Amino acid sequence: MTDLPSAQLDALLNQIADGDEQAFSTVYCHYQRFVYAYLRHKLVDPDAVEEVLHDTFLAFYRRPRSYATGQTRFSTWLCGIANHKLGDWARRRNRQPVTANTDDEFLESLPDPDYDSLGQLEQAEEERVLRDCLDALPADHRETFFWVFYEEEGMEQVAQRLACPVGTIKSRLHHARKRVAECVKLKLGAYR
Amino acid sequence: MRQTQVGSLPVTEHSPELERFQKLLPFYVNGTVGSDDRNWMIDFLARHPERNAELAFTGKVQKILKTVGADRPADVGLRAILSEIRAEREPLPRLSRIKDMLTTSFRIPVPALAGLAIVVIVQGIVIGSLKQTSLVQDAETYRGAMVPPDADVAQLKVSFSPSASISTISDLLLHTRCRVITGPSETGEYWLAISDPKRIKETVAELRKNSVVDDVMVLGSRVTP
Repeated sequence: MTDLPSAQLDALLNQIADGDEQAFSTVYCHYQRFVYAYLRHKLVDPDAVEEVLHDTFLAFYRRPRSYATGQTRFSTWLCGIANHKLGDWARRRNRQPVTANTDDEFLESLPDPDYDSLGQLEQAEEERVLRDCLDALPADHRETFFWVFYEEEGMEQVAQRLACPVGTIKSRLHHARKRVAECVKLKLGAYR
Repeated sequence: MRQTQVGSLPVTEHSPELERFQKLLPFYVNGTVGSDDRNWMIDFLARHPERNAELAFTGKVQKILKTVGADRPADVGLRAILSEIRAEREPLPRLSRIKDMLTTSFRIPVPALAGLAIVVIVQGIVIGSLKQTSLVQDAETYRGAMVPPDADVAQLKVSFSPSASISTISDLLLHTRCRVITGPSETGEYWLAISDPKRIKETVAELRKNSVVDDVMVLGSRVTP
């Protein structure tokens, strides 16, 4: 995610604070897809993602000046608001976001998936299966995938962001891929 | 143990070389590995062409993830937010409409209109001052970067994990004998007072070791962590 230049962002934030809808639209259009994708990796239900995204940008619109330039990246700050809106959303519904169980030891014991057959995925149906399998991952695995594959961050950067050792990130990614591959294989086997 | 025969060397599922390949693969695919690791990966894939399927699969995973939200029309969400913002500003046009109605629909004599205007102005001042107080309170207690007005009696500012439930937070506060002064803020912070101020260090340590607590800040005097 490339943040808007800080001078432009400062000007836009001041305009938004004065009620300028055009300035808000500029910021929204620049960041909405990133925040949507971030939330989509945390929540499986697209309607819930839309709801939390709405709350996130509404909170930002109401207090744009609460962003302190230079302390953190603006996109990271938006993710912080999104996280808390996600927490509010979960509390409102008295439930946690849907996550699967992490059983890395079990995965470790499995043989490597047959990537030869999985490498042939091309049809839209097969891509949908892959998407479903990604949604079935535990939340921490999905979030790691987001920063690595969507945001294309390096291993140290991701480790720092998620406050865990590089080794944990590497093994989390390894197990997540293994889990997705097994899931795809199982579902495609059922289709064919 | 399953083995894959590659050239003259077998690659077992738990060989250090294969392990290195699998752990570097996501960062090789996203293009963030250093040049040494990249060269090593190129060399490994040349020596073990059967691993290209795994590379292709990981590339597909990235392709799918990169398309998240790509087909989502931005203007729908934007329109919804803007209409909510405009709805919040609704009272002003309504006041204007009432004023128009008074001046155009009713033919009121000038002295009566002046009297009515005075009454309206006085009421407006009273209502306005009440509203102003409410707005100020809203702004001050707003969950942003501002410190709430009664936060001066608070001794700690605590950020809880977004996933923490209200009951978990309540249990922890009861256990540590903390009282909520205000919060949560937009970024999930609570301002707390401790029942026994002498136990501030112990309370901070107890809060910090709990997994639902992201951060604890001592207000006023600093405590060495």
